[in-house]
Amino acid sequence: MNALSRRSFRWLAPAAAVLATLLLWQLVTAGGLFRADQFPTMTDTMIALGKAVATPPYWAAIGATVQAWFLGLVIASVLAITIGSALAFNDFAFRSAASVIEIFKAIPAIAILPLVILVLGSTLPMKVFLIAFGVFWPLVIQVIYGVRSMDPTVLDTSKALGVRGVRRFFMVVIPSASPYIATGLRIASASALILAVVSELVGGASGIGRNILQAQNGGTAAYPVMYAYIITAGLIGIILTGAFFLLERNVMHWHESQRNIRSNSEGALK
Amino acid sequence: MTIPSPESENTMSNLTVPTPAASSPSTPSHPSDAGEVLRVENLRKIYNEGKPHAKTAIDDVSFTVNKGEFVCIVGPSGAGKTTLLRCISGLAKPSSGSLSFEGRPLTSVPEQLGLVFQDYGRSLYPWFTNAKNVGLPLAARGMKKAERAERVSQVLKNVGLGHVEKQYPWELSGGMQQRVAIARALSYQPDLLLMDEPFASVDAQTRFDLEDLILTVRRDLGITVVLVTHDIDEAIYLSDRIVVLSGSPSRVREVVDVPLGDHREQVATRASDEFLGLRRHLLDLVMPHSA
Repeated sequence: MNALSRRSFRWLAPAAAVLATLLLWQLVTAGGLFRADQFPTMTDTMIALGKAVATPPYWAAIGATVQAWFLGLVIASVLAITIGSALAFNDFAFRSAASVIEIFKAIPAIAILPLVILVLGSTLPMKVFLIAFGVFWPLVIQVIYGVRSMDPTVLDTSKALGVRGVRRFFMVVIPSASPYIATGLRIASASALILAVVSELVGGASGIGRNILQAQNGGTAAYPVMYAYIITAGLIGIILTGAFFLLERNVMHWHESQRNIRSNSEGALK
Repeated sequence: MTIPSPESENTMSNLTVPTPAASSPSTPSHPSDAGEVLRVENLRKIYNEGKPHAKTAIDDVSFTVNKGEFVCIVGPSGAGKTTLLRCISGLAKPSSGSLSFEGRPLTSVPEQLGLVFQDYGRSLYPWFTNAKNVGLPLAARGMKKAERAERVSQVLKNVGLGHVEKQYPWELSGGMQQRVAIARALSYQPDLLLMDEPFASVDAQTRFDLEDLILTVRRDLGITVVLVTHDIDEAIYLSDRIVVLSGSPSRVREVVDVPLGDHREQVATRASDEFLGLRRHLLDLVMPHSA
């Protein structure tokens, strides 16, 4: 196979798989295996999605969900990186806090949703708090391990070069721990989106999740709309994951794992 | 967070002229004494002191290093050479004894000390380009960006590297990476360059090149060098004096003068009778059967 057809094959195969899935969906619904009040046809759902895309509320819902995702993730990251590094550098503080962090990490964030709704209502702050809470604990653990696994030579070098304080933190400690932090953020991004949709679905804050709930209340006629929003939530997930993948590839290009991926894709594995 | 550099900072070319030493010459231990850079007195280092698994790494080590000297520290493997270097550099605290750098007690890594580690792969930061690696200590000393860029290319040229500024350390060969690490240690024009087995991880040919490089740099910049090595030939080839350590826990077995002159050449010097005589003497000191 020559280079050009190999490249087009790389795109064609997944596209064909998606198309086949959509066709199968149409077959089982239009063919009568499922009734329309159980599962709408693919074409009805696509028409509903097409109609929704043309309206401003659709984009407002996406905006609300992504906004909460972003704010929650940023707040959790900033807190996790500062608190995590501080704990990692102090052995006593680390050992004291470890058990508390493990307990909080074990609490499913959804479990505190009723409480958060009571205190903050069906608002953006409610969503952001829930996301930040749910994402912070696993992330802070990731930061602590990242900093604690720093190569002693890396720290010695910075001491020898007279690199101190804030400069050492941003130029040495964070980059050195960044492979751990990047993994933590990638996982955090996925759970932040889940928490955003759940807080809208259960908590009633505006966003994709609430639109799914509204469509459900609209009766069987609105089922295609509901599925259109479910598909939208999936697409947002794919886009955010892809964005993180690209970001990691760019920011972490110096890291051994990324270098290995590059040299493997340049032919070592073929 | 950063220490601003003094206004009257020397440029690289100014450094070729040896400046008179600031510290007072106290009890000269070497004829060509021009001021003391480093003094180590009764240094002792015990790991896990006071605990049942305490281990004495260094028993009692004393020596001095004068301005402009090249001193190698040799000893059998496991003799605590690296521990000694960590103490001298201020990275580790000695259990007892005293250390002074340019007449002042040494408690943390001095501003005017350059350090080169054996493992360049770990001491060069892979997330920075070579230029940023070399410029990092300069940035920490508050040097302006434009001046920094100039100094970085100058110092990279000094170690025989041109046009690697935009590349990353891991894109270079081992020998070139160690050159970048040496350039980084030299960039802020330290008074003393400390090197821990700097050429142990490169091939033989590169090792000879780097040895000659460090001799050239030392001659051009008038810098004082202390180098730890397990390689006796390397120690003789480079040094003015060699501090020979005993096995663990280390003591100074002997301080050997190396009167090979300023001009040294890999093939001729290593084949000279003087070199071979010193080699025999040092092997006798270091080999375990002589203990």
